[in-house]
Amino acid sequence: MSVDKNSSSVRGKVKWRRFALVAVPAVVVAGTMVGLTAEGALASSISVSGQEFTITADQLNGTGFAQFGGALPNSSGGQTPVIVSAMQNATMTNLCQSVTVLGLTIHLTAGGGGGDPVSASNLVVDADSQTAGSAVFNNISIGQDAGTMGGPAGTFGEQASSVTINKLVQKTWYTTAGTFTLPNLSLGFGASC
Amino acid sequence: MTADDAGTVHEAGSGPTPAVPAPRHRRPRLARWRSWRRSRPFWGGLLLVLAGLELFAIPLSGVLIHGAIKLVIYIGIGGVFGVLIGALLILSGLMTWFNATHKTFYSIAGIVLGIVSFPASNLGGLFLGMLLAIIGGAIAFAWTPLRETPEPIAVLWTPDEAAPEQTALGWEPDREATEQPDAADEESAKPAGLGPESGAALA
Repeated sequence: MSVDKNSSSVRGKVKWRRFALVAVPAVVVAGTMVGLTAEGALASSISVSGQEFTITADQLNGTGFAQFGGALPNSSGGQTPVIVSAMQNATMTNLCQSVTVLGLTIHLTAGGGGGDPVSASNLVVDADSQTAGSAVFNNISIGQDAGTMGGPAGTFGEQASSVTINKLVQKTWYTTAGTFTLPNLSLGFGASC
Repeated sequence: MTADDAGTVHEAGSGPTPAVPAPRHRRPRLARWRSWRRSRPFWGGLLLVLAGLELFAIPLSGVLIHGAIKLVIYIGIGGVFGVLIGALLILSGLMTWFNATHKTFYSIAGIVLGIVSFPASNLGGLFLGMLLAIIGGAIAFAWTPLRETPEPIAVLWTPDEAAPEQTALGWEPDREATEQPDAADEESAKPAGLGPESGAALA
C-alpha cells in the first residue's frame, strides 16, 4: 500500500460520497436504537459520577430498598457526605435528569405522558440532598448496621422491602444502574430540571 | 518506496537537490505538522478520540478528578462498559493516525463502538459521544489518499484516451473527466491500473 506512517508526503482528502456511504447507514442504525429505547423496548446502562446533577420524579416505587450514609472524596481532597440509596428494582414516572457536561446542560426526560414508567434495576444513587413530598416504606427496619447492606460497618442504615416516594428531588453525585428502560425518552439542551 | 520519497521532495519544494532525509528535518515545524496532518485521516481520528474521551468522562470524572480508585469498584458494569468503549474509541482514533493503511478497519470499528455505546454507556455519552464517533468514523473512512505523481499509471495509458474507455467499461461511470487525477489516486491503484489496460485489449 502506498500509505504507511513514513510516507508523510502522501496527502489525502475526504470524499463526501464515501462519507455518506457509511454515515447514512450508521445514523439509521443509531436512530433505530434511539427509537427502541424511547419505546422502552431497549434497556440502557447508566453510570454517571463526579459531578452534581439533578434527578426529579413525580413518583418512585422501589423494591429491595436500602439507605445509609456514606462519603465520596471531593476535588478539594476532603469528603462529601452523601446519602446512598440502593434499590434492586425501581420504577419512576416523569423522570427528569439534568447534567452539565463540558459546560453544556443536557436534560433527559422519560416515563411521562401517561405511558409506561421508567424502570431501573440495581439502581444506586449517592445524593447530597434529597427531598420528597411524601414517602411510604413497607417493612422498614431503621437503625440497622449499614455494614450489613454494603455500607460502612457500624454506621446508621435503614432497609425496607418496598418504598414509594412522591415528588422526589435529588441532587446526586453518583448514579449507576445495571439497566435503565426509558420509554418516552426525550433529550434536550439548556434547561435543568 | 521510491515514489513516496520523490513525493516528499516535491512537498518540501525548497531544496533542488533531492537529499532525502536532510530537507525533511530542515522544514519548518508548521509545514511538517501540516504534512503530517494531511497525510492521514487527521480530523476523523481526532473526532474518534474526542468521542472516546467524552464517553470516558461521564462515568469516570469522579475517578479522574478525585483520584478515587474506590469509585471504580463502586461503578460496576455500566461504568466498565463506558471505560472500555471509551478506551477502544481512543485507540481506534489513534490507530487511524498511526496506522493509516488500515484506517478502513479502525474507522468502521469506531462507528460500531459509537453505536454500541448508546445502550451500553449513558446513552452514548448523552448522544454526544455517539454522534462524534459516527461522524469521526465516517470522515476517517471517507478520507482517501491522493498521489501527486501517478507515475505507474501514466506509463500504461494517457489520460486523454483513458477517459472514454473507463466509462465504457463501467469504472465508476459517474466520475467526471475533470477528476481523472483523483481516479489515479484511488487507494487501490492496482485495479485502476489494470482497467485501462484491459480496455485497450478489448479495443
